[in-house]
Amino acid sequence: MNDLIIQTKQLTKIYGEQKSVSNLNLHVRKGRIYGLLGRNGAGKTTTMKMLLGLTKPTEGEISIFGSDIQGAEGKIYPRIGNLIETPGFYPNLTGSENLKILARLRGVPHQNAVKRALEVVGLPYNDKKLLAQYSLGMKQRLGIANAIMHDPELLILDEPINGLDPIGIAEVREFIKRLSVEQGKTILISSHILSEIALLADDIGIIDHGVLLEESSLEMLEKKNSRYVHFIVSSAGQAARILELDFHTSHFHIDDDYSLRLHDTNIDVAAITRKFIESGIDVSEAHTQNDTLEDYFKRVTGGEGIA
Amino acid sequence: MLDLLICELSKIKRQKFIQLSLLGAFLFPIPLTILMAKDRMSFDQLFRGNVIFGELLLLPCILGVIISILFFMERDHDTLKNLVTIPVSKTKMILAKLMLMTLLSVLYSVAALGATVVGGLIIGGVEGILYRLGISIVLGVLISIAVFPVVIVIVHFNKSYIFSIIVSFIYAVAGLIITMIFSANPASVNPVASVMPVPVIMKWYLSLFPREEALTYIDPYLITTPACFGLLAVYALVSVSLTVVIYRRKEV
Repeated sequence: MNDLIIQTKQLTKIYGEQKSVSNLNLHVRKGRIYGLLGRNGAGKTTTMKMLLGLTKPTEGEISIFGSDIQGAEGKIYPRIGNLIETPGFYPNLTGSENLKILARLRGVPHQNAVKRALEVVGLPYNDKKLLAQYSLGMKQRLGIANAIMHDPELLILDEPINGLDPIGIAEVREFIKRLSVEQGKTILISSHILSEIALLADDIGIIDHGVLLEESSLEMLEKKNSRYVHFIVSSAGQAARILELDFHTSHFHIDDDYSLRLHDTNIDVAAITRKFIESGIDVSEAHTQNDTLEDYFKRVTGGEGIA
Repeated sequence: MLDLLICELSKIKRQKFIQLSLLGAFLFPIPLTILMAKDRMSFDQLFRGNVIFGELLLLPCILGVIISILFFMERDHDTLKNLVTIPVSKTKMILAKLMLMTLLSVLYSVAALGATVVGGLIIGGVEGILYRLGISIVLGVLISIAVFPVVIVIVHFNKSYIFSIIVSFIYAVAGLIITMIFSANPASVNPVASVMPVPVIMKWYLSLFPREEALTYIDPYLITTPACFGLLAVYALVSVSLTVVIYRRKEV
C-alpha cells in the first residue's frame, strides 16, 4: 500500500449539526486517475478542501505523499496543483497577469511557466483581455492552467469540466488522460457526471451524503454489474406470477405494468417466453442485458442515481 | 516577503479607487491655501492645517477603504484558496497587505506635502522642505499604523465596503474630535482617549515645530519621539497579532 499518494482515515467534517463528510477512508494510488463521484452536495468539494487545508477536518487523518499534512503543508502543497469549485482570479487583471502573480508566489520562473500552461489549455499569452470579460469556460481553462503551471505530481480537480463546451470537455478530458499516461501524474478528480468519470477514471469512489459507499477500480465495478433478461410484455404482473409459480423464482424486478427484469439468468429464456405466450401474455421484447454503471450507482446510492 | 508585496501591488493594477485616493491628498491643501492666503497665515500653519484635516481626518478613511479592498478582493473573487494552497501563510499575507497600505499612506502623505508646498508658494514662506518631507514620510507610516485597529474590525466582521467606510469614518472623526479637544483644553482629555493612536501622533507632531505663543499651554502635554513610536509600536504589534488570529480562524 506504499504506492498511495492520498490516504485518509475516518475523515469527518461537521458543519454545525450537518455531517458533510463522514468517516471517509480514501485511497488514491500513484499514477492513477481517481474519480470521486457523487451528486451535488454529496461531500466531494468538502473532502477536497480538507485535503488542501482549506477547511479543517472535524476528525480523522490525512496523509499525502506518505506524510501527515498537519505541519507539513510547506512541503506537500507545492507538489499539488488544484482547482476547487469555480476558479478564483482577480477580475481587474488579464489571465497572464493573474498567473504571473501565482507563479511568483510559487517561486516558479514565471514567464516560461505561465506561457507553457496557457498554451496547454489553449489560452493566449499576454492577451489584453481582462478576466472580468472571460467566459466561464475560459476561467475554467485558466484555473486548469494555474493547477498545472508548476508541474505538480498530484492534481486535485473539483469538477474541472464545469462550464466547458463539448469540445472543451473533450480537450480537457484528453489532456487529463495524457497527464496521467504520459507524465505519470496522480489525479483526483470529482464530478457529478457519471459518464465523464467512466471515461476518465482508473479508480472510482462513490460518495453520497458524505459517506464513501464504494471504492473500486473501474474494471472491478464493471465486473460487478449484474446480467438480467429484460421482458416487455402485455402484463408484467401476470408474467411475475408465472415466474413465481412455474419457474420458482422471485429474483426479478417489475419496472412498470409492461416491463420486467429477471435477474436469474440460469432459466431458459425461450421456455419462459413460450410459457408467457401460452398463458395469453404478449411478449414484445426479451433480451439479455448488463446493468449499466448508472444502474449500479443507482443501486449503491439507494435508487436515486447520480447524473 | 518582497515577492508578496510585489504581488499585492500587482493586484491593485487598474483599481480606480486606489488611484483616485491619491488625488484625495489634494482635497484639503486647495481650500486651506485659499483661506490661509486671505488671513495671511504662515506656511507652518498651512502645513499643520493640512496634516490635521488631510492626514488625521481624511487619510484614515481612505486607508480603511483601501485595506477593505485588499482583504475583500480575496473574499469576493474567491482567490484566497489559490494563495493558501501554494501555500502562502495568512500571517505573511496580512503583513504584505498592511505594508502595501503603509506604502500607499506614505505616497498620499508625500503627495499632500507636494500640494502644501504649491500652496505655500502662493502664500509665501516655504522652508524646510526636506525636513517636512521626512516628517511626511514618517506621518504616512504612523497614520497607517493608527489604522491597524480598524483593520481588526474590518477583518473580524468581514462585511461590506459601506461598513468599512462607516467604521473608518467614525474612527477618524473620533480621533479628530479628541485632537481638537486636546488643542482647546489638553487637561480635559480623558487619559484613555489621549493615548489613542491619532491624538498620540498629533501630540508628537506638534512637538516638532515651534508653536505660536497662544498655543504654549499644550507644551506640557506633548510627547517625545520615542514615546510616540513606542506607543504606536505597541498598537501595531497588538493589532497585527489580533488580525492574524482572526484571519487564520476564517475558513476559505
